[in-house]
Amino acid sequence: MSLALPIKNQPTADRTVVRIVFVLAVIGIMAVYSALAFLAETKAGGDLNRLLLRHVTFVGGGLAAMLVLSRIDYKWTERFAKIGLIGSILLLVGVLITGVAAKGATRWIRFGTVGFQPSDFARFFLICYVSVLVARKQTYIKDFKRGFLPILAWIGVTVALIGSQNLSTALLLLATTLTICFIGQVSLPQLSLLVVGGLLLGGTMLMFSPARAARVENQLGMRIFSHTDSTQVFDDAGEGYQGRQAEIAFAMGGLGGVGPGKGIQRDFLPEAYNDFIYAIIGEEYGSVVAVVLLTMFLLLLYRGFRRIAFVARDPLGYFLAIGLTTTLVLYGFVHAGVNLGLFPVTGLPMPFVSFGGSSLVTSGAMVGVLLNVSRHRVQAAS
Amino acid sequence: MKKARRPLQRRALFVLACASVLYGALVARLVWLHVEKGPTLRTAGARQVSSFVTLPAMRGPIVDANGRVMVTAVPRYDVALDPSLPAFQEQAGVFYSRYANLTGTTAAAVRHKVESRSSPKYVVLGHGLDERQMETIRLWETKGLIVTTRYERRYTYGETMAHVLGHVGRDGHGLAGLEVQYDAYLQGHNGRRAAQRDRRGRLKALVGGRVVEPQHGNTVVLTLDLIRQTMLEEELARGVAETGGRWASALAMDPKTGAVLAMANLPTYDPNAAGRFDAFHQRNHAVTDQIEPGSTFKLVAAAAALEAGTVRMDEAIATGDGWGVFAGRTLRDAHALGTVSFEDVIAQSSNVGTARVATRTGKQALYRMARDLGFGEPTGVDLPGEASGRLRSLNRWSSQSVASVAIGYEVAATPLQVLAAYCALANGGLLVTPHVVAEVRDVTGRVVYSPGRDSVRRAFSQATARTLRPAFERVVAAGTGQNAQIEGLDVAGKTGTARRSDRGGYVGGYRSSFVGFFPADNPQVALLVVVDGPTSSIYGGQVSAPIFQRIATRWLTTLPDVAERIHPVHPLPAPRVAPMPRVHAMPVQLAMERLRARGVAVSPDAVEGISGPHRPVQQQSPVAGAAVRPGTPVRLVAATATPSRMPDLVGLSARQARYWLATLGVDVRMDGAGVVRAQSPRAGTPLPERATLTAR
Repeated sequence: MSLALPIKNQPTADRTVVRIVFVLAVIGIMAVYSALAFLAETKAGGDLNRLLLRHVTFVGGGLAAMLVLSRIDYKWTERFAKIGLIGSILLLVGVLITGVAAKGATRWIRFGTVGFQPSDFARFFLICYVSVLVARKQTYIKDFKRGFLPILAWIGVTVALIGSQNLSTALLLLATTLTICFIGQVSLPQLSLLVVGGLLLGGTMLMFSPARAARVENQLGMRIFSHTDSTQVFDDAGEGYQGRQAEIAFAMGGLGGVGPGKGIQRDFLPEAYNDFIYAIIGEEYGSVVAVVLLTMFLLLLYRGFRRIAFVARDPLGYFLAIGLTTTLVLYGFVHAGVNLGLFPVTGLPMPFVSFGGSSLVTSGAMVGVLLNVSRHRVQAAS
Repeated sequence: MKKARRPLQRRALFVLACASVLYGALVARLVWLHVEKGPTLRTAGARQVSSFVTLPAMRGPIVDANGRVMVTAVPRYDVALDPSLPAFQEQAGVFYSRYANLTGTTAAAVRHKVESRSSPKYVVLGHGLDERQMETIRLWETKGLIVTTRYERRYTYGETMAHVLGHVGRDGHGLAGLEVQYDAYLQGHNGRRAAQRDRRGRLKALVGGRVVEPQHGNTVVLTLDLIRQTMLEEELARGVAETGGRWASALAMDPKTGAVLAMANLPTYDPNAAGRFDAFHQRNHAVTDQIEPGSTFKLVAAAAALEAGTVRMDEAIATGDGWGVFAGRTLRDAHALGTVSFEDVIAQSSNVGTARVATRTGKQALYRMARDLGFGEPTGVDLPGEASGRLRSLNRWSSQSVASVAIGYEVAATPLQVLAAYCALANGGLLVTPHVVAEVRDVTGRVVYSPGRDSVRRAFSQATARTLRPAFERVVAAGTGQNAQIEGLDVAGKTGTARRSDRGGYVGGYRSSFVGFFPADNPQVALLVVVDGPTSSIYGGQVSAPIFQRIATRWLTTLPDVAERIHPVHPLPAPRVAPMPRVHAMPVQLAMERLRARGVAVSPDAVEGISGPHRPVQQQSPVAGAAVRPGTPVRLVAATATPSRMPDLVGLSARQARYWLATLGVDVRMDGAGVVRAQSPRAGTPLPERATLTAR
């Protein structure tokens, strides 16, 4: 029909994506409930119900953010993503300075009792802004100076700032923006610059952190760095400990799981409610549910790419859908990979599942934008 | 638009494909974790949550020969506190004053201890509280108390038998004496109760969990007797108080079995607080010190000469004016004796005479006899740290060595080795293995260990022993050891006076010893006393013999059959009628013991035929089962051959039975102690290689 009509003809957002988010959130609440039991026991004055309420509240907050953003035309990103990103960068610098002043790494900014990670802001806005830039520069994207270099600069600054505090988040953000650029027709030789930059960042971080390097060495099963603490590497009680405990959780769970609340590995896994929630699900609800969870993310990926991005009304929608889908799924897969012992141990939340307000709200916002893109699609008949 | 999107979609599809591969890898990893590593991981997971609470085993007691508890384990409690608990803080004031009352301090002191603690949640209040104190504390139901149970060693009689018993360290394992020698038997095995453990190591009780009960330690039964030991220790202490000296040892053995009857050293220590005493106090000189024996070693020279046939006891030996030169070395006697019999050479302890005979005997025979009597190697006593003594091999002997060794120089021996050699003289030539443990029993009373063979080897013949013994009786009767005389009792012995040596050099002063046994004709006790560096006199006959005499005199009260010989009591009228036991095929002496044990009076001249205690009875009269009245003549006819059948040993003392079977060449396994109640094989069966006796 007419090209002006699709917006009004297809006002509903993608229901499948909404259902996926609900499934993830429900499984998450169940798993966090049992994983939190340990936290509530050990933290003085910790009250299980209060903590669970907190989690449910943040899930609600994430869904609210999703709902709100799905109603706002994603064109706001053209104007506000840059401002949001600059604000995030300032926050990151602020955290860095206060962190130095307090003589310790900090990733948090607190507003009363609610803490927020500026890196989550930065993550969201960088993906939006890179999408905006790639969409805007499509005609001359192969021109390094006009096309790729400005994008590269924004990515470099943000990733470096985050990376100084949190390597894994920085690397995943780098991978996401890399994907946007890759799909956005940036020439491959130029893209490889980004890859080299990522490797440089990772290498530098490992040189400065023996514990982190030890984790990587343990994952690879070989010694690479001379400065690592050799007693920690390959030791079940040292760096290999967490990974091994997570593997034990899956093995103990079997296909059907040991049952809700009956798991014991939550006592052995650090931050089980957050960094190792997937292992807890594997133990208590079994590998079938674990695979279902993974499949949810795969489904989200296909939905986000084929049913939202590929039919988006303009390049901006296309790249936003690609970027947001990629980052959500990448977090899900890498979290699962860490839990399964496929990647070095690092603390990444599983979107919508893990305990933690910052991550939940950010993920909600991302899906919100994604849903809004899905509202504006070209005619399916085309 | 659409055209432009084609390549975009191509790269997007490539990303999609990559992500799908990652998904596949994750699922594959999950499957691999289950199938390939599943069993290992599950085992590891199950293991890390299961833990155990140790149930401590009680260390076994040590009892003396008559069952008196010498060492026992008593429960002790260590009390610590977590004062940060709100429930405790509510009752803190009351607790402080109660606890202070109980332990004899002030409430302020307890409060100070708690408040000045270094750890926020833990402070040790007291160590080693006893059962009664703990009962009281339990009644208070104080929150936050952390009580640890352990067993502490209690030496019932303090310093008594200290060097034999030894002591334990803080970890409850033996550090000295029997505590270390028999540690494996005493310690038992800790039990455990299953519990669940989480990452912080906190234990959660596991209802219905597996419980392994602790296996308490075994009971070690000594050959030593508390009463005799106490007498010996008292007399040794009294003697040393009179004579002075750096250290002294006294030890006694049953010459037939090698069982140590008593062993003491001065200075001594209290094993209940071993840490307060230095190594010198804790030293068991009787087995760890190798000293030059001096004249007591003349036994070796005499036995070697008799075995070699180079001297007769009544042979006249010229000792001249009390000095003689041997290969350039001049030896002197205490007094000039002139020409005397060899018996008097021993009795008067003539160095010149002994050296003269030894030179004639030759160094090979002398060396071999010293070896055979166990010098130069550990006796094998079941006490830790035994020294082997020093007996140089023949190729390192100088031309003077024969004379020196003959009078107990150039050799070193532990007091126990010297005593073992005199046991051989007392028992007819057999070297026995000294031992202080009669047996080890588990908690049910089953014997789990008993010492093996009694004798090591025959050092010299019975004839030699018989010939030599009067010379040593003469030492006491009319020689250097007259201070050891006991009225009415024949005592055999030898004095020894040697210069004190330490690591090859003489350090000034003397060591005075006396070693002997009694009754001389049927020795039951061999006893040695040695005093290092006495000040009242240097001579063994002056210093050690009186101590020997006093110990022996007091011990007589514990040896009724010996005491009876000195002061015969009129026997109760024999039972009017006793059935004649069957003694056929028994060794004669055993048969006579048996008859006496059953109330049948029998005199030594009732035996006909070739005499000898080992000959079996061929005929008896009256026949077995017949009534024997006082006055009924009893007659035994001995066979000409040695016995070839197992004798009936039931009713004999374990010691006698063991001895008799040993003389027949039968190994004995003795269960229990006291009187033989059962035997295997039965009486009358051909002599076995090994027999088992059960005694009670």
